[in-house]
Amino acid sequence: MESAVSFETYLEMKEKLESSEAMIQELQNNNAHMRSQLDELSSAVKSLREENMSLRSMYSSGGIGGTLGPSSHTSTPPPPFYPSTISQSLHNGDVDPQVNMRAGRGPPHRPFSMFEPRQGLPNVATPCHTMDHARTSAYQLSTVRMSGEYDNTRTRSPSLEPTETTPLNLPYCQPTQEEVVRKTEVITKRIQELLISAQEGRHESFMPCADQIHSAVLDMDAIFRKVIMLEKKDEVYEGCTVVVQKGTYLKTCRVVPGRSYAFGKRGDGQFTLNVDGCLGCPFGSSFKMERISKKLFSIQKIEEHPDSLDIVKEGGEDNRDLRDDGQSQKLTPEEIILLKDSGMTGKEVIQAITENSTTFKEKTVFSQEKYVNKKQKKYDEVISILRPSIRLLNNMYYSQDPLKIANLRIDTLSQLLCHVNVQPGGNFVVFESGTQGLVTAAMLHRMGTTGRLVQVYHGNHPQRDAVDLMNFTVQELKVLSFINFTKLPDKLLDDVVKEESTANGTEQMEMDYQQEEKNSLDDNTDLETREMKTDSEVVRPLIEDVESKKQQSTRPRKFIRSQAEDIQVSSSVLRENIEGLVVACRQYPNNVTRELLHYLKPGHPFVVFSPYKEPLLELFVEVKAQSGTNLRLSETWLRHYQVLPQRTHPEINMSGGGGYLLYGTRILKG
Amino acid sequence: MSFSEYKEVIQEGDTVILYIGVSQIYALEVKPKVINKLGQAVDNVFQTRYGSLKVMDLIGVKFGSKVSLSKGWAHVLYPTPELWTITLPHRTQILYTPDISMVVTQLEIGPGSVVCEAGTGSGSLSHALLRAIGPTGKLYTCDFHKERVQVALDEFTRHGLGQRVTVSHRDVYVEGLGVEGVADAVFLDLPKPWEALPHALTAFKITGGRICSFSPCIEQVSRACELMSSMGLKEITTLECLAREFHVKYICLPIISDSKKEPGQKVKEMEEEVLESSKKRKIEDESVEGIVVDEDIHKKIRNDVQEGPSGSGTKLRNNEFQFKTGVTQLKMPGHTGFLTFATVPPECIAKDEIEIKELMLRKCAVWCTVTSRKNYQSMKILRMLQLSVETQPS
Repeated sequence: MESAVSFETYLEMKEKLESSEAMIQELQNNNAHMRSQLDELSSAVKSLREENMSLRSMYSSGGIGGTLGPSSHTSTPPPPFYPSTISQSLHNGDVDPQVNMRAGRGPPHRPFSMFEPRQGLPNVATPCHTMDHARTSAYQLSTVRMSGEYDNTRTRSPSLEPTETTPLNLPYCQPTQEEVVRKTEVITKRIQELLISAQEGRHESFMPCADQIHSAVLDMDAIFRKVIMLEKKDEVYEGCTVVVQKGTYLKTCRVVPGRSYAFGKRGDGQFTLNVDGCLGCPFGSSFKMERISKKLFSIQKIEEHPDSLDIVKEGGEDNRDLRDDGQSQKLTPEEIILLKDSGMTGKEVIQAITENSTTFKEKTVFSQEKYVNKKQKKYDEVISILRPSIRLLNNMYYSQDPLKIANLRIDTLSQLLCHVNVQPGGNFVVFESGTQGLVTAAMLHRMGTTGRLVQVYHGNHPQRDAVDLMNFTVQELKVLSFINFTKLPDKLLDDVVKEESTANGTEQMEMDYQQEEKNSLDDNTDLETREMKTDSEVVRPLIEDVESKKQQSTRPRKFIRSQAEDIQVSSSVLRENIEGLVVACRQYPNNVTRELLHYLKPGHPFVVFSPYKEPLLELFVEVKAQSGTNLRLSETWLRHYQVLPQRTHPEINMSGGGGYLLYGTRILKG
Repeated sequence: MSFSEYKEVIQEGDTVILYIGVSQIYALEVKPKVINKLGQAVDNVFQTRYGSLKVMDLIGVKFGSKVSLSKGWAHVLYPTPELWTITLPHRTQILYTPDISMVVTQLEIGPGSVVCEAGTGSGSLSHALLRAIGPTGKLYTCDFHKERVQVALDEFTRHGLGQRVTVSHRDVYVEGLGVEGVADAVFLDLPKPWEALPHALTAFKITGGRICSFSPCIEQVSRACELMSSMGLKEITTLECLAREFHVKYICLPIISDSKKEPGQKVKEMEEEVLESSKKRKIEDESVEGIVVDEDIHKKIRNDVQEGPSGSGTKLRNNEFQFKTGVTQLKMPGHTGFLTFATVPPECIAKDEIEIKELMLRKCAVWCTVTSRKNYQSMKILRMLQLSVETQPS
């Protein structure tokens, strides 16, 4: 039955095969054609590159940007954007914009990043009057830029002047007007080509035309993406916050050249670290601590983590002959400290300790490994410099003191973020108190640069400690606005009345904010001081960081808007209604939730976090009776595992609970 | 469409969640016709325990409203990946929200992230990933089951997420994740994660990133962890995450006293009453009217409480102790899988790149000679690899 293939099927198959062969042939031809085009383009790129090099050597003496050779880029996807110098030279040379567009997609080669300081160029080119201004108020300038008109006629002529190039030291810059116009023109041109060929019925050119439109649009997209990518830098830069990790110990610090930070618990474990060595290294790199003086270390990048486990050799059978008499270690603690301070490496110290232990050799191999690992944690001099993330911040707070963030464990926080459906483009409200701004920071991170997030706060200051540690860009921070719980807009009142009332309060608020900003500028330990001010009822761990109390020279502008502006933005978001509500506080959450639920659009979710179950039980009943459905009260259970060959088991210690969540959906009753 | 953009009113083509009760939640697609078991297109009418719903009648209805069924009512909710997870058509075992939320946070996924997922399955995790990466991000997900790939792709497209995702049909152990040097995060849900790990590493950006492997068995975890640490990955942690849900209930406990016989009888009576009422509640909890009944009881008790001296929600009345509590489930999921997370440091990528590329080159050359028809794709890959190996500094 199955083997019987009819003649017709055979013919049909044959026909299909032939057509597919033909198609392959066609594709191969296309490919050959494209390859030759590619060659042409790469030669064009090469010539442009040479031109650029010669231009640069004319302008700059140092050649700072030239350090990036092509070899370092072989594996990365081609950066889809060329800095303005190249587009400039293109423009001057009157090259067709099409070539520029394609050149941008050619072999990766990037002479300058906008972040790399270009010393010679701006000074020689023209006295750039915007530079100083740009340094001080980058944010204002970028807004000005954004609001600039997109006028085709105007951009043509001034674009030839070097002054029109992107301000070079500006951290947050939009693509230049000229670039946007050119890319748009390319797209229009491509579409017109397709239209013409469609009108003339040239079917064979549809696909290439469509491809060209696609690549033109991608190119257009790339110049905007570039802005985002540039801001999220992959290397440690001056003024950014990094997480320093040493074993399980985590601490954040701001990279300011010349500054040192104290790490570790007070006493013998404490050391001072100068982290200047990490500037320019990629986030996530490992560093070796180099001793400068007794307690002061600098850091130097290393490629491989030295492993002390090769100290472990042959071990005994079991522990029947081991006695805990405190006599097994021949070195005294003082001698060990001396060894450590004498400049020996961690491994050498461990070696010395194990050699001077009479019982080490009798221990089993597993036991020796455990011993060495324990010692390695103590004497290791390797640290990692990591990019701050919600995961790391939560781990850091949790390891310092879970009560610092109201016992909001990472699994609970993750659940909260999922259930409130926070995502780019939506309007969300978070009421946060007693969790260091961690929930706000996490939501802001999930939103990127679109949508609105309103933090409703209680007391004098918004909760934003974690927000400040996340290296958010200005674009991201623009998403966030603050409003005091007492200043919530009344839904029943007319908008006009509302405007008046906010206007009345403006002056005083402005002063509050200025005071706040001044405080934060004057005193860089505002994090600690604020804690003391607001959280007197909770016992705080002693402030470890003594060094950080020193004056700090540069500090990012904390608030994007004035308080009055914040209230206006927040009120308008609240009046438009929101797509998700989070209440996370140490205080009684029920009345806050009741109040804020009015702003939530029906059919959308809300989540309430409390360290205790009882208030949520009350709230459950109340919301169920009034305006909620699909209500769930839950907690999560989190267990870590030690995974080692033949020794896998749950960790000996675990957290007993990470708080409770009540979540559900608001509905229209009746 | 409603997954990717916010709207107030239901339109044709939207996916909406029909909420009837705790255990009756359904995802409906608002379209005029559905295919029945016989393969015929019939009017889209959804049958529930409380009667039928003409799905097209939902057009124009606001999200969050109450809609009438022929023998009851329900609410229409806005779809979220979490609601989708509990309503989606199962094609495989799926990940549930406790694990999903942990994956998204631990992988540090945000808008614009590029994520690779091996094992699309039923797309439960994919939806959460697609939400997290936003319109500027990209998810590369693959599965070795051809039909599943197609169904998943259709689903993403219908949910308005098609632009953010590439679904491919491939065997990850052999062919890798299909992308190189682009990923911020990689998620592996495979029976043999160790076979996919070397491929996964090539998918990462030069800056490194985070990786996760989900395995139900500890032996799989053990093997994967061993390889991870030998590959130089850092911060390797294995954890397990479970959600405990509480049912909010009023409980009356009879008080046993040894004084007289009379109150004792009364207690017995009360006990029966409580049992009866709890039984009634249990039945009606699942029904639409359950809420109302609960509420009535609540009102009654709250009034009692207010009369009482304590006012704290607990009360002694007629020899019984009343209180509100969260009752744990009698049976709950005890194990889903172990999640192993690790950081791929930048130096790890830099080190492995040349070796892996060379390996790939050899593989590719073999493949090219085996396949008689030298197609364009293989030539392109070969050329690319040759170029990249040649230009390496060493």
